[in-house]
Amino acid sequence: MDAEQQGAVKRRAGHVPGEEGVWVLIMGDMLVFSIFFATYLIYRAQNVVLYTSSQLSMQRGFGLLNTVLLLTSSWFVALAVSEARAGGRERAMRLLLGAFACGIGFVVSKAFEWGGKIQAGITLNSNEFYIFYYMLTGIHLLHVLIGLIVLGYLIARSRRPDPGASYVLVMEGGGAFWHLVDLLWIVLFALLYLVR
Amino acid sequence: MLSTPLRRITAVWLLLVLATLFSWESAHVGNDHRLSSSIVLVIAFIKVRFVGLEFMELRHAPLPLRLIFEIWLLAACAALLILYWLSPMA
Repeated sequence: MDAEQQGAVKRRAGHVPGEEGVWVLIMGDMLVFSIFFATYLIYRAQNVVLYTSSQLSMQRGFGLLNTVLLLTSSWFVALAVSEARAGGRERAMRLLLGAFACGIGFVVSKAFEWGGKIQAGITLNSNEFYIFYYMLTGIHLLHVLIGLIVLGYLIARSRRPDPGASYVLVMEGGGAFWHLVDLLWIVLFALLYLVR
Repeated sequence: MLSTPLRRITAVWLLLVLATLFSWESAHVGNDHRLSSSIVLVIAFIKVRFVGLEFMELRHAPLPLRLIFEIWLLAACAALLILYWLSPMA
């Protein structure tokens, strides 16, 4: 039985990608963020005019660019996990570098976006909408930074002459965390930039 | 030529990028903010489902894990839509 067939058998039985602990973290994070999202809409309902007028200053192009960057990084990571499973560590490592570059791109673009806002005098104290904007994108950015550290570790692990028995499991778990970062941004982008 | 799993991952990525551009467009057209914003939210959660099932591989996960994800997805999407529709119009 080759690796792909073994994988297929394992999948039929139901396979938890990565360590189970990773999923406690992921589901917990998803729950916390969904409470943030609901809180945003509840506060917005008290002052819709303030929120929609503040949203006019949002540069949606940044939001769109960030979304495409994260989707593309997730694509690289999903391909890397698939390669790692098939034994192609060299290719997995190169794909992870692509994902890492997209993640750095996200951070740089966020720095420009925030920088532009701060220069225009729009800060956390400007109004309630911007409190949500800076807090939510800030907490998300923290996730991106942690995700980049995870990707860095996966790259280093892929380069090792012997990546260890847990290599594929670590790739799956680390990959799932990176996809979480992407998943949360998708809703955040819709709520903060597009929903009026 | 890409192998089957790689092709599938790439097809999902393409779909997600196209859905992003579509929701971008639908957020810009039309005068009915409520309808376009609701479409944007629903598309966002469809994208989230694709990321979860395909990229995170929950499609192959044991049923309880997949169910937790699906229930979260439905509950979050429904809650946000209800809260949005309960809000006064701008």
